[in-house]
Amino acid sequence: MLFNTYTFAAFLCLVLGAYLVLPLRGRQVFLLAASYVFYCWEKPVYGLLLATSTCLDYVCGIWMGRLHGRRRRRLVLLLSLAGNLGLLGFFKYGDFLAGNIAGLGRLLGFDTHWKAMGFVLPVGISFYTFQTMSYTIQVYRRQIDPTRDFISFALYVSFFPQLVAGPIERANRLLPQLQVYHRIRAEDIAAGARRIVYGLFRKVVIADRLGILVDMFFENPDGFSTATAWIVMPVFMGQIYFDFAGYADIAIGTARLFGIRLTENFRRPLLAVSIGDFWNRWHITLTSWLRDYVFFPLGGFRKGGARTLLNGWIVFLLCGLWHGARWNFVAWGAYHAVLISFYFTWRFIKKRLKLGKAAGGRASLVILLSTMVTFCFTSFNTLFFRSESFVIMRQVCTALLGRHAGAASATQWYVWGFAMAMGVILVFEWFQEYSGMGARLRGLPRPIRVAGLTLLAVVTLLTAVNNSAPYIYFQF
Amino acid sequence: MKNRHPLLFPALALACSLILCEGLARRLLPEMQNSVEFYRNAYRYRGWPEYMGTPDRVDASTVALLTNCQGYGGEYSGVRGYPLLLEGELRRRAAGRSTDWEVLNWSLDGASSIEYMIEAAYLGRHPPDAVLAVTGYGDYRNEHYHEGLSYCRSDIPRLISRPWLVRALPGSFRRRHFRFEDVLTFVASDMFALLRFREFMWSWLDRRFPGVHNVFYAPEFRHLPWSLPKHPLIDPIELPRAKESALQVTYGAGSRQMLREYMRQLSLIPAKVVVVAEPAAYPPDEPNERRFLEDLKLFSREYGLTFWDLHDALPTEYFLTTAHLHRRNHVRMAEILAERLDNLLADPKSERHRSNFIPRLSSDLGAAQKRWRFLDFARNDTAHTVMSDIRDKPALE
Repeated sequence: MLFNTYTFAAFLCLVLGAYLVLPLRGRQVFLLAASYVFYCWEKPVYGLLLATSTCLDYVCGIWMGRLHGRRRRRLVLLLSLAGNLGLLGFFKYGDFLAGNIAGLGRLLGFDTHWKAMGFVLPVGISFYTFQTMSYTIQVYRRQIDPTRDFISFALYVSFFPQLVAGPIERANRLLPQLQVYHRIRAEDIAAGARRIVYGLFRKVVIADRLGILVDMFFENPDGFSTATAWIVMPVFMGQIYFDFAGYADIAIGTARLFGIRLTENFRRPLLAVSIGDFWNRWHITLTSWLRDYVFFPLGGFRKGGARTLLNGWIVFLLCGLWHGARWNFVAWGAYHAVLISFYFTWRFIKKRLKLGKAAGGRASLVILLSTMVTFCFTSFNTLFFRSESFVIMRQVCTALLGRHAGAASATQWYVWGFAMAMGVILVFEWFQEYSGMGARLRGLPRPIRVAGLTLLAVVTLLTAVNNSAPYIYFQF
Repeated sequence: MKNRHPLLFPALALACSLILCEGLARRLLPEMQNSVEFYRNAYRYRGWPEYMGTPDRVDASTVALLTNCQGYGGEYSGVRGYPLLLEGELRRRAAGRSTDWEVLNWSLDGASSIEYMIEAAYLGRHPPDAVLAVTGYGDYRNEHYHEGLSYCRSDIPRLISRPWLVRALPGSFRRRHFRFEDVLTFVASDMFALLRFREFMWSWLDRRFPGVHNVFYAPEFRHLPWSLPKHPLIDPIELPRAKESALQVTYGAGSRQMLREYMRQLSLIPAKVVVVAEPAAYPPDEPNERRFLEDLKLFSREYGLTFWDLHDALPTEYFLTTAHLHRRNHVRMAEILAERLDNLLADPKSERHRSNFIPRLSSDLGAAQKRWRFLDFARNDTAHTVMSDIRDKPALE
């Protein structure tokens, strides 16, 4: 079920209405049932996967809680990880791995016959697998006590607002919220509704609209001018950001309606001043997951420069693979690994040379320049992210270099319109980040805020793109 | 009060604003006669109860023509397509008699098989005097069998907001095509003018700035905007598109099922229903067409419908594509249908049904007639002029 559909609107109204009238004790079970209905809406069979993952980690958690020896606990942890990663690997990477092995075999002269299993990827499997793994890892590390409350735990894994595309919540943050009975408060409803409208606007008005140009371009890169090819890069960056951040807004807003507070997943990443800063602002819950459970256990920054770079590479290649079982995502991860390697090296040099931070007006200029450079580099990653194959990637590269059939064609005015729209968006984000615009808006009198929200709702209704495109991150 | 009900004010404000916007949308949305689309196809657009409207004369015989892109006439304006020519021809033949004719062009462009069913179900309750169901095998592409209502390119699925119509449709059809999201979408857009206003607004912009619709609003080819009589202010935006592969027309088990359901639905209309195999220029012995014709004949007989086989009634040199007609064939088609229809309905044995198209209130009748008056030029004179004009012109190269 997509957030930007009438079905979800009806579903949310029904669930919220019933939740309000139910006695406190029945609410958890009801939310769990609603979450499974939400997840099983398109393909009920995948509810079994969710239930399997839930049961596995629930049992492993309790089991680990009973064991005292670290070694035994580690065995149970490995069992849990193997189960979760096994499911993920089979459904998400099975065809990819088998296909590549078969291809390699053919290359080496073996007679390999392989046929794709053709599984439809269960929606959100990457998200909820990482979420349940974080629970078992936290129990293993004794950061939390294992829960015996199965309903709360099942709800933690399947809570519908964040089930299919995050934020990837940690057990120590979400589980305690689900274990207490919440009374619905008016301010939660108001804040939730505000966030939902804002998220819908970002998704169906901005992201989907930017997506029209991106789709047209990637469908036929040869038909557009070179300038268009260069403009499409930041436009796709805007599309993916508003698409995912819009989803996160709706998820956070929806959870808030039920009195649950989810973790923020974005912090204006388009204004990052460095690639390290970018990853602290973009998909925060995934980045922090990889940092805490992969980067730091590998040694983090502690084992010297070369090892830090290697750790960075491992993390970003994994991050690329997490996004999808395709080589273009691996290339995307490698691209970011290169960027982060430069960033680590620059930090190292800066530390050695004891370079200080700029101050005053010079600092603002440095921030502006750093933001622009970072934005350019991160925008370029769209080449890897959006191209579905290396053939398209090559076509796009040819278009970027002006060596394609459409090189001589003029850039249409609407393409400049999209470029200008991106510019306006960036300026708006800039003001939000550096001039306290958000705080000032929050300080406005209530009637003005309500009128503004209503206006935003009507504008969203009137200017939403007609075809409701699924969220980009749903495919992961 | 403020502390006890902190949400009351925002909720009331939001509700009032939306009601106000809805009211404004209802007020601002034009009547459908402002749409030039009307000339081509009266039934591809908005506002059902209004355009189910009135015939010009109370004693006119009304013929509903259910067909596909052949009657929709993308190549020519509606006045040159055979549905309107048919009306002119029928009127010419009826000169001096007490009965006048009106042909309602309910032709479709797109996933016809799904929309045919809804049209037929509607006619079950609002029957005209005769129904001409002109159909070809391209209307029953196997892939339509699995599509939801959102696949349709017209507004016709909005009719499902009427519960009686949903009940009139067979369960198998509902289970196949009534996806929850589609149903909600169409029902919501039928109920709330604000949602229709959105499309009107973008269509208006598209007429002024041709191409903005595709670039900024609805890139999907399935979606068609309102056609409004506005002058463009800019040159149309050209979109470079990759070459698409040729449309594969399939005819399989799903197609047969859809065809059977349609025949059954037609048989429930309390009027004279004629099923016509549309003329086409497919290669001889095209297996899909052969199978389709056999099925069409079989099902028509099974459900007691009159069947006219016109699949090879027109000269193949006057086809623009395998199914689209050249102007000369539009004329010829109108003549053939007029002759057969005239005979059929003149037959005293033929059962006549008085339609309930006429609005119940006289004020409605007056308003509806006023709305329809603008079409007068297209009804008599234009139709005849165009027909004689076409007869004298050479074929398109």
